[in-house]
Amino acid sequence: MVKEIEVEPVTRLEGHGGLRIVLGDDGKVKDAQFNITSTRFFEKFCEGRYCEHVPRITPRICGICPIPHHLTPTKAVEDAWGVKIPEPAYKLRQLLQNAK
Amino acid sequence: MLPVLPALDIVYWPAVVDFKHDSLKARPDGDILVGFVEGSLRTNEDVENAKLMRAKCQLIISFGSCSCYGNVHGLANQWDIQKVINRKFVEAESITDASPHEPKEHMPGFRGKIVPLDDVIKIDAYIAGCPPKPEAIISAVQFLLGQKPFPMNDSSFCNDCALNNENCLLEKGKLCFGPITSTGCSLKCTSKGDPCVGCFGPSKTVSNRAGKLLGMAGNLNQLSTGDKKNLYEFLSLFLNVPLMAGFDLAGDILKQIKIKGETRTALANLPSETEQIASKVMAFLRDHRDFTEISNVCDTCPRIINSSSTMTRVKRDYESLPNMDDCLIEQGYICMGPVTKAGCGGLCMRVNAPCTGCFGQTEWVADQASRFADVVTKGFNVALSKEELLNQVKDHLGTFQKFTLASNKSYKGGE
Repeated sequence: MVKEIEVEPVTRLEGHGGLRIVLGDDGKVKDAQFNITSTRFFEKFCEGRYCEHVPRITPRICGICPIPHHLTPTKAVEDAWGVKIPEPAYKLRQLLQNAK
Repeated sequence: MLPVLPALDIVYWPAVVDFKHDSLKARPDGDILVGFVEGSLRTNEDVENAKLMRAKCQLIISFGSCSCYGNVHGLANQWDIQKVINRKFVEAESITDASPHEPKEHMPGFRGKIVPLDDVIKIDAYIAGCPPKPEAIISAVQFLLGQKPFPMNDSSFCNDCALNNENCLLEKGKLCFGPITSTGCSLKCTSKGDPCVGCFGPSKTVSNRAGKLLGMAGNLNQLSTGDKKNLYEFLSLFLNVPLMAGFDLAGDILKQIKIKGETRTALANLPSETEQIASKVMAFLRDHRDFTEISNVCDTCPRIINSSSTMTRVKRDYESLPNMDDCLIEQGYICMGPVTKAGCGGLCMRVNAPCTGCFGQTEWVADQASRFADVVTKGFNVALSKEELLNQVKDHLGTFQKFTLASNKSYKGGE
């Protein structure tokens, strides 16, 4: 008999996810699916924003790890503008990331 | 959290503990004292979860700017949902699938628009902020753990007050809360000729002047500005209502009074006159412009307004480095402080970044950009006309309604 195990929600993480494990007749795992059941479409609503606003929008992607979501758009803007950051700024970012 | 943990029994908290959906569903309705509901309502499942929490909890706190106002996710309301979905699942540059499509299997489905949590369930209190301040959470939990106002002494302040009949401040038309306030203080205020603002909290009985006070409480529009400021002080001291740090219980009670027309404060067993007076004061504060206006971010910002700087054009945030003393608006930047609810303590401005409005608007108007421009061209060193200022800002929605677009009922969106 096919049996399905549902873990809803997947806990101890920020965000929404569900785990479904399907067991075959022999009781062994036949299929496993991890569903990320929510998304908020930052891809779309960052369109039309000032580029310098985006590093203050995307940290809202995750309350546990806002730092990479803050640094990524910052780097994207720097990349677009050909900015090379000074050494202290780089160290500060390392510190920020490691302190997270 | 650690000091209050022994007083709490956490029964559901997906990010931290392991309880599953089923364990929450299995509880009887109203089994949980208080639920903090966070996050915006993007999927059908989000709405179902909110309704489930409402059923299981006696009190619901809308926690954080996502549930209070929709947060930045509300900016997606600019477009038809199908366009938003396609951008992520079909058009995203990082997709490598041969035939990209929206995943549907075991997915709850997306709602057309983001709405604030109080659009789908009844809310008892709000803690705004992105993120909310720890002080707000602590004051909310302390309040819920029983630090409610309670009548202190039997007799009222009037009993001890030295001002006799003809000198009574109420007789002179001053709003003095002596008739409903507990005895026990050193009578400092009235001995200096200032009205009692209720800092000893409610008394078990009221004095024979309570009727006079009630009459005045029903006609507060006649008051001077100074007396109006006393109302705010009265409310927070007398009812021990945490108004600061973004835990807006007073405002929330007022909202309910407005919606349900109830005059009871629901905070404690107070004499009926006290209930009526407090309710009238709260209803007045809720609706009155002066009080929505006084509690904005600028009130807690250390920067100088009417400084030696003047905005002559709108600067982008990356342009030059502002000084730490002068108002950021007067230095040329768009800072949402004057139109944003207080509660953060001016965090961003203290690190030289303009306020972006995460605590929500002090006043809900259809055109927030226009309101911002009105406020700053009148009260700040701004050498631009309202039109000039607004013309120099390209992204109106992202600048003026970044956190609150979903709460703007008059915004229809939909490109």
